[in-house]
Amino acid sequence: MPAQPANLTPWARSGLALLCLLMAVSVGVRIYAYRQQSVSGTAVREAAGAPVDLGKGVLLPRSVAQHRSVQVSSCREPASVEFVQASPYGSDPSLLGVPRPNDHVFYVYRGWNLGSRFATASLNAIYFTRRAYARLAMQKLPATDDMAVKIIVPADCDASPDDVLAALRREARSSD
Amino acid sequence: MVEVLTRCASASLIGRARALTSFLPVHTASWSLLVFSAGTVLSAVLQRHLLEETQTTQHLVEFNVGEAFGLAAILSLMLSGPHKIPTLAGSDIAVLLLSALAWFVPEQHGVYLAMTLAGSWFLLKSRSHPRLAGIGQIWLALSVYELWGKLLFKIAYQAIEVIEVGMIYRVGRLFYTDLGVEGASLSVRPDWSIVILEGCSSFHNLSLTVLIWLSILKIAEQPASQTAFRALGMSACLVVAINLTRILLMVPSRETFIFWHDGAGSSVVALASVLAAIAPILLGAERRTCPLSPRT
Repeated sequence: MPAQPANLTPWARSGLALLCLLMAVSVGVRIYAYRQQSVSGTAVREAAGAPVDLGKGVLLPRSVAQHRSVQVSSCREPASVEFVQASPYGSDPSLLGVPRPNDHVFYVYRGWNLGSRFATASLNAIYFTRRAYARLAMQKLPATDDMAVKIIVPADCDASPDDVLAALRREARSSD
Repeated sequence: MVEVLTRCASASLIGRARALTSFLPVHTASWSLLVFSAGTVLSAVLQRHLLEETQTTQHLVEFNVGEAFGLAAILSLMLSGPHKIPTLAGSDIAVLLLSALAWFVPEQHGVYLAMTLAGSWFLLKSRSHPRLAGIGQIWLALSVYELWGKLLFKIAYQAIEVIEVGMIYRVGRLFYTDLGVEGASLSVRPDWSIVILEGCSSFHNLSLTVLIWLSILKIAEQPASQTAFRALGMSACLVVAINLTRILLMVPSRETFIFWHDGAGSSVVALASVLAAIAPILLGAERRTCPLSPRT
């Protein structure tokens, strides 16, 4: 064992004392939170029925967030739009809609294009990030029941997901 | 005579004081590591049992067993050669204290951020000190089991699900000729089906298997040899097979689902998985420690 420099011993002792203190405080905090929870009851439930955020301040009520076809001016065929749960506990988003072999598929979350390849994993990551944030911020309603948009653009159409989303926002505004 | 006794007594006192000063720092180091390990586990256990929603018996058994093995391995690394634990430097103490702030994370898995930070630090910094590096490995294995493995599964499960459900379907067809599959759901009759979520995955407990394997190797003071890896492979296959059997037993009806998912069946599965993780490496370690002598 290497020789012990004399000035490290107080460091080690103070460190140990601080670790013990932190442990006692963390135990105390948990017991306090448990007592508070027993008094107020468990009120943490996921917020359900929040509107779907299409980006740029446009919100679509959950009740009308169902499969629809959106006509984009540059395309002969309409693009298909599905609403998928941004969580790993719903049905697999990749199984929704029936894209043809050369169709382009995009996932958009709150106006943010996640692409296609790792979109499911990205949606799961967003879900857990939001959940972790809600836990850290001690929010009573974590609002994790969120939705994303799955856009299927026909193969012969060169419209971008932003074009489809713009058309979808126009539709949402006009139906208000 | 009196002078001799006094000289002897003072020499003895000085000797003891010297021994104590050389012994205390070592003990302080061991105590710091022990308090950090116990503090992390205690924080996670309190959060789990006091503040989280009620979990299945299977999860409770597995979490507690994982933590128990991790702590036992850390204790063993300290007690089997306390003089070999080097004194902690100021930076080591600072990392332990900084990591310990994660004890306040209000989530049972998030608490293990503490062990990720400290484990990475000790593993990278203490390569020349096998015992400290061993403690770092155990901390990392614990944090992978409790936090990162679970997070990876939750994020990438849709990709893993395809392999998982395909495997269950192929094996299940040997027992249920009318087994049907649709996405992640399995059924043998039209009015009942089960959905395989990430918590039910057969691959889910492989990180617990690795943690138990590593802990037993550290307790038995054995290196990760080819035989040890073979035992790990065997444990992994057994754990996957046990969970696959459990899922297939849930398929026929709601009653069997409740028994194997939430009832006594889930405890049996948890204990069987833990035994499957322990037995191969334990037998391997025993054989290595006590080799059979040929009879003459």
